[in-house]
Amino acid sequence: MSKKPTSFSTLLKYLSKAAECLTDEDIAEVAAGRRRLILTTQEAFGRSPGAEAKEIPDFGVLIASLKSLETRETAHKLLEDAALNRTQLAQLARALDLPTQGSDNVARIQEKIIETTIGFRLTSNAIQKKG
Amino acid sequence: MKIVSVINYKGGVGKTSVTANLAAELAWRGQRVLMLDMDAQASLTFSFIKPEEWLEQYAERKTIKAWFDSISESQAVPISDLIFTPSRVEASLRSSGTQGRLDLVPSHLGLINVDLELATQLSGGTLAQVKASYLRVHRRLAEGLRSIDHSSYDLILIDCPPNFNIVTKNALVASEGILIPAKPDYLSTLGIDYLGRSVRDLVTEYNDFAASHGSPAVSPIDPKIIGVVFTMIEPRSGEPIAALRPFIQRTKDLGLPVFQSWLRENKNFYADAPQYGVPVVLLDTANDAQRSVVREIEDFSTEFIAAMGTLHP
Repeated sequence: MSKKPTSFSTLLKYLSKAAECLTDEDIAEVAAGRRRLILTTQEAFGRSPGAEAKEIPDFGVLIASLKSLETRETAHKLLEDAALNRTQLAQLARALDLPTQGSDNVARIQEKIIETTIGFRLTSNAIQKKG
Repeated sequence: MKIVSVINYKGGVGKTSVTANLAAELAWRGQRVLMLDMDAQASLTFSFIKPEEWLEQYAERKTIKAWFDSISESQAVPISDLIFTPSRVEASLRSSGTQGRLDLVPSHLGLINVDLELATQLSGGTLAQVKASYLRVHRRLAEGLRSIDHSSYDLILIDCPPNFNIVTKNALVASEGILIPAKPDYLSTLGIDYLGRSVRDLVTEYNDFAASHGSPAVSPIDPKIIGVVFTMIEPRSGEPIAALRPFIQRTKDLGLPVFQSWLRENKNFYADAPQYGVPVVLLDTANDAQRSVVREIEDFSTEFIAAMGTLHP
């Protein structure tokens, strides 16, 4: 097998992984031809290919931990301690069936995740006056 | 005969469309359904009759407001005297060959004033008198519905206003079940929480007063939430879009019963159907979009019937 197809298939894997960060709305817009994708390259900050994937935490455990917490503050600390970058946070959101927008920054995605795992229950308890 | 209140604290969630289409679909399936419009906006009423018809034939003496007023004036008319059969939907049902029936007790734009009147009747010189007044005022509708022959209808659907005033409490005291239409968005799902809290407080207070009343005629109440039906859905690939799904899931996670079926937003059909007096679900289907709308109402109605089976007989 020649070298070129191997590099190309690796590139396609990267593209596929990058596409996971797109929201359903983004995908629909691109598919409908109303938006276009722009590809650029940048320094990989010294990481070898595949290093990022190895660092992705177990979302199942993380989600279960978030749902077991009792305050937004502890949930926020847990996410901070997990040290997820924007891409990983978007993947975590996707695992929660939670849409993110291309304009969402890390703080906004964290807030969405916290609301979906623990915040909504705190809100409900507050309105229903449950301790 | 079962009695179900349709309510959400939050307005604009499609409550009246749900009531009208559910009632019409059940009638089409052969059930005898009475709709009771308790919302002062009278949207359900005007979904079946034109305002000028309402003004000429019903406004003065034949609305639920007139019934509340008549009790205050000690000249109570039976609610059964207020029931009528809207002609356009009746024609549609008859042409389908069903044995079902769809009747209505209309509302009145002045119904909001009834709440103020009822509130003045809650006073008493002693705690015992206050409790007796509370029960008398809150049981008005439950008592009034006894004038209806229970073998005449399979179901009474009460379209409640988006508040928790005394008229609404009357509806809930009279009901065995509560149906909650809701939009899957942040503020609408907060409305579900408000409603849950308010219903719980009402049941606790009412049953406390009923227990101390000591009369077997005043039995405790226990209206059950039949389910939350999500409305105004924007679908994609056969399911709500991603932005809506978290709110549906959260409602399920809070332990509330949620109907699997949902109803889509479609202004082409829902926006103008009321002015012709026949709910969308009874119209002839002309295209795929309309078939989807009708199929969703049918699916929801099937689920509703199954859920009704869990209520007390």
